[in-house]
Amino acid sequence: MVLVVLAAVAFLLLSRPESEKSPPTDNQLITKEKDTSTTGDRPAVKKAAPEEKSPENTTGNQEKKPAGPQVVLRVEWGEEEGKLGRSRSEEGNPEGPMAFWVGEGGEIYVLDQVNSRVQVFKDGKVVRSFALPAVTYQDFAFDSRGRMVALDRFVRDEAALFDENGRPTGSVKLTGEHIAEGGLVTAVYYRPDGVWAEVNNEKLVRIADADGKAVSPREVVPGRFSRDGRLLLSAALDGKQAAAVFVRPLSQTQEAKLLARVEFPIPVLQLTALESDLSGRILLAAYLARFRETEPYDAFEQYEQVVVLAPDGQETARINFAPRPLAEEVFHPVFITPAGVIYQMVFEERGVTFWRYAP
Amino acid sequence: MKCWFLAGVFLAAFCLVASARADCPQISREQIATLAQSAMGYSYWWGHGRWRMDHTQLGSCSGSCPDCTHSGSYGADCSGLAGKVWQVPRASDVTEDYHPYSTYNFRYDTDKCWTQVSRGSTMYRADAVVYNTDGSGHIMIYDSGNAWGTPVVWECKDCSYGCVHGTHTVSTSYIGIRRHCCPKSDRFRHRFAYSIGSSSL
Repeated sequence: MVLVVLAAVAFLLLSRPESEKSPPTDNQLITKEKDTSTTGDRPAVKKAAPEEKSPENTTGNQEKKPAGPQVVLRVEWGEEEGKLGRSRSEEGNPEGPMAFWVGEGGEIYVLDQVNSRVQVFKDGKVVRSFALPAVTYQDFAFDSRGRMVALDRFVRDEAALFDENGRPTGSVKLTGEHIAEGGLVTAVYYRPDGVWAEVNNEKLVRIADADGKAVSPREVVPGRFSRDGRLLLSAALDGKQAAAVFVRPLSQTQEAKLLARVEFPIPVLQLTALESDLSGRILLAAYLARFRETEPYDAFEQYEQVVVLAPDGQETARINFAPRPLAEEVFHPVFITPAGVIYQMVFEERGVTFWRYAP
Repeated sequence: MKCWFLAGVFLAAFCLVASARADCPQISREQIATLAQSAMGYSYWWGHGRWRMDHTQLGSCSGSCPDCTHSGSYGADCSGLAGKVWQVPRASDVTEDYHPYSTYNFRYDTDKCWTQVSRGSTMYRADAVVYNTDGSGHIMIYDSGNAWGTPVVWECKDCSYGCVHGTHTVSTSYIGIRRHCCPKSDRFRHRFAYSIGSSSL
């Protein structure tokens, strides 16, 4: 009799669905029950198209764009000039180039930190290259004069400064007032008034003046500067498949205003870019993915999506970019130029591909 | 007769599972977080897992692992950190050099002290994300997620970085794994914690 009772208990315990073992959160319920391909008011978005074929794109009024993102550069993995470094070990963090930057002439600057250098590509060829003092830089930015700041959050705890010719000119310590931990810095900017570090995708802290000298006290603003210099932008996930975009005047006398709530067709893994262009449009990029709930727990649908908002928050375009499924860490996979042209960097087994789209 | 046989099989299976899980020491998510934080700043040490709570003798690493050179007696690699802070498969003092599992074990073994969880599910503090493909792997302990959904993790990153805490973009190659035995009471939802009008839960 005891055995029967024990067996019954065992059977019940072992057959209990995983979902019953702990109360599901709202997010989990949405994942399991919401069929995003049919319930959303936006057009259904198919799995990102195979490489070489531009992903399907839509606009807010359902118009088809004549062409999607195009490949503008492919670079093989390697150490030689003209190749980009990839690091993969048996037990350690895999990484490729952490960030890239696009100049006014369309030249692509790649933070090839695995090879301790920055390489500049134009028309498929390297036109310039300069050395970095370490392999642990994760982000970089340029000012209008071509001076560079490079971010080392973990080892050197610094924003390293370089002149127009790529020569080191000094560095500024990251941690200090308003930056408790270098690892929480999520971006670096080189503006006419100096160097700013973004903390946890929430606030900017001015760490150096225009001459590269550390400033004290440090100024803080609650968001990113818009390109026209009039607004501060910020964004936050709002549930599993949406994000809120906020704007506030630079004067900071007013509260942040909700500009738009952007819904996505499938769950957001992470927001990947928030930028404006000189015409006042605001662009929000998100990496979207749906995962299997059982082995192999892989993503069966994934791609990057960029939503373009007019200055009044109205959606004007939605562009799908290629999936980025490899394990290599990247710090900034999307770059948006002052003209609003979107670039995406994708790691593949054979190398790195750069996509471009002008909405 | 058939029912009795099936009941016996279930009972045996239950006992096996129960005994296997009973070997995993009880540990809370906050204890895991405290252990992980105590390792930050230590050097990356290929195939090892030990450090000190007084945060001294950090050691150093140079070169490219596995052909790297480590100096000092303390440090950890990514799976060494995970095994130690999760205290699996047994309790182990942080100063004991103990490295029971590789990323392969964390990714593919299902009969140990952890459960695989979909990345589509909510991640909790002290969960881990792991990948292992074609002989390469990495594992990180999940701390929280920020407003953008960017994970903040503890990891022994590699020889150049050492053991660090910070934001880390985690690709879809990684799956989630969750340590058994963590009381539900200290589970805390971190991802998607931000919503309009509130900055926390």
